[in-house]
Amino acid sequence: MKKIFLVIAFVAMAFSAKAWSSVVNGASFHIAKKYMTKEALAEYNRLVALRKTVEHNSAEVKDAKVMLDAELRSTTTCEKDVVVRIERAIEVLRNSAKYTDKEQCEAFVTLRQMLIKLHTISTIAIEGVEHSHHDFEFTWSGNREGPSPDKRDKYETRGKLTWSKMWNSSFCGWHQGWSSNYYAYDIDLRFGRIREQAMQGTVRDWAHEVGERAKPMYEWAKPDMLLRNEPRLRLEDIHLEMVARSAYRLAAIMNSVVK
Amino acid sequence: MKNRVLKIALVVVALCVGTRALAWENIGHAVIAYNAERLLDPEVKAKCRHYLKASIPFYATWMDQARSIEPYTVCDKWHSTNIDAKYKVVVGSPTTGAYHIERIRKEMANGAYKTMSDSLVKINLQYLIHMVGDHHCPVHVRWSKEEHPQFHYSLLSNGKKLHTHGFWDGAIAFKRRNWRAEKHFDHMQKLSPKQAKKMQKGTAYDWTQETADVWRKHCFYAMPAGTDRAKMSSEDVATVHAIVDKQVQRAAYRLAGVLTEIFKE
Ligand SMILES: [Zn+2]
Repeated sequence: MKKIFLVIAFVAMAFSAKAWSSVVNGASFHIAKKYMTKEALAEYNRLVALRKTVEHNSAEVKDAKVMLDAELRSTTTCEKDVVVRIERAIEVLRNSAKYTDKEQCEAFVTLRQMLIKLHTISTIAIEGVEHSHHDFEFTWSGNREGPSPDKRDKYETRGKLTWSKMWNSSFCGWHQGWSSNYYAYDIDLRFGRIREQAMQGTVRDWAHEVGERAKPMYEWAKPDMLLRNEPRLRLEDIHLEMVARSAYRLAAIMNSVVK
Repeated sequence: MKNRVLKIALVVVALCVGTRALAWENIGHAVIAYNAERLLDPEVKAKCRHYLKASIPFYATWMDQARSIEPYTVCDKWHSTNIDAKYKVVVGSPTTGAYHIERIRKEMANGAYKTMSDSLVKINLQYLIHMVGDHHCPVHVRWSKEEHPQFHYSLLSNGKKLHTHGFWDGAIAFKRRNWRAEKHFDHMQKLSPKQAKKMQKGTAYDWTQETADVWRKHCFYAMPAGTDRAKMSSEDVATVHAIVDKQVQRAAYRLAGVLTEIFKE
């Protein structure tokens, strides 16, 4: 039993070290490639190949945050900030000839990971909104409550979840068996209508926009809250929309760096 | 660190428990919906898209999540259908899923869906996508404990008690770690149009009766009480796979058939 626990724990840790699950990450990259220009796609594929052959440091995603002020503006120059790291990465990729292979790889890995972080609600830290700054645990209530109150206790499943884990990797459990390819297909089908709008603007505009989605949630999202299925179902839509936005914006960035 | 490891393990265990009791588990529903979508012709697929605003598999498990949410708590009993003392499916009871599959089919038939609001068409599709799957899951026929005590027993998993319902719900993924929906579709035996038509015939009551017979005549013997799923021979595993693969094939073809019958001009 102990063994099983440890195996599960390590799988979970491998999971939690990444933003979103690997299937959803892959889906976001699949969608992005679809909307890159020919030149951008060639550059993207060159960087993917380079990443496989050149030794480089992976992007440090743990504790990555998007710092927003009380008006939800990103104004920071802190090097650890997600927005700043994306801007630096774009700079390197735009002037790739000036940088070593290792530096290009690191910029590319950082760009992909940080764009995902930028579109993860739990990454957004808003000035004056206390619970947005630290991860917290809460109780979720599962899918077997049943309508009759006398049976509710018998069927209801509950568990502990953290705010960041919910946004990073909990929703894909509802779609077991989906490949990255299929996720990409479904997400693009559902959110294709926002693609053109999503590809406009700067990284700081995007941070502001995600901040606008995140802020109202902290009126109810608090440590020790009980989160039922109904809001979780609606939150999945926001999560998937964010995956779509992140994908469209990866395409927009790659299109711009090869111009 | 130790504390953190334990905490994460508990979260993962809790998440797994949360899905354990669902028919076909999430993976089975996803595969049935995915396979059905692949079987549809473009016209019908486009109509489904129009109303669902998503792929068909996106709503494969929605009904399991929604059963605890108003106004959908009404569908809590629609995930399975009763079998009587004489092993016959109970017909006409609004607290069974087969009743509602047939009700929705009738209400939407012959272009009648065009008189419905888009949101009603959507919700009906969401119900059908899930319920057709549920009614092909061998343990989603309700055998009362009083009339059929022999069908209420446990299996084992590495010596630990495992409810037979839990095993069959997840049997499609048994020993098939990392199989994605595409692989399940490739694996599914394809039918000629004539064979498909034959399989798609009948009502949800007929299909449920067939599922009940599959349980009684095959599952019951393939995995008798006390079978340890960790110690099964490869032949026994193959028998389990043959049973569930057939049921998944039937569910996928019939779901495709139901959607085609509604939308095909
Ligand atoms: Zn169900």
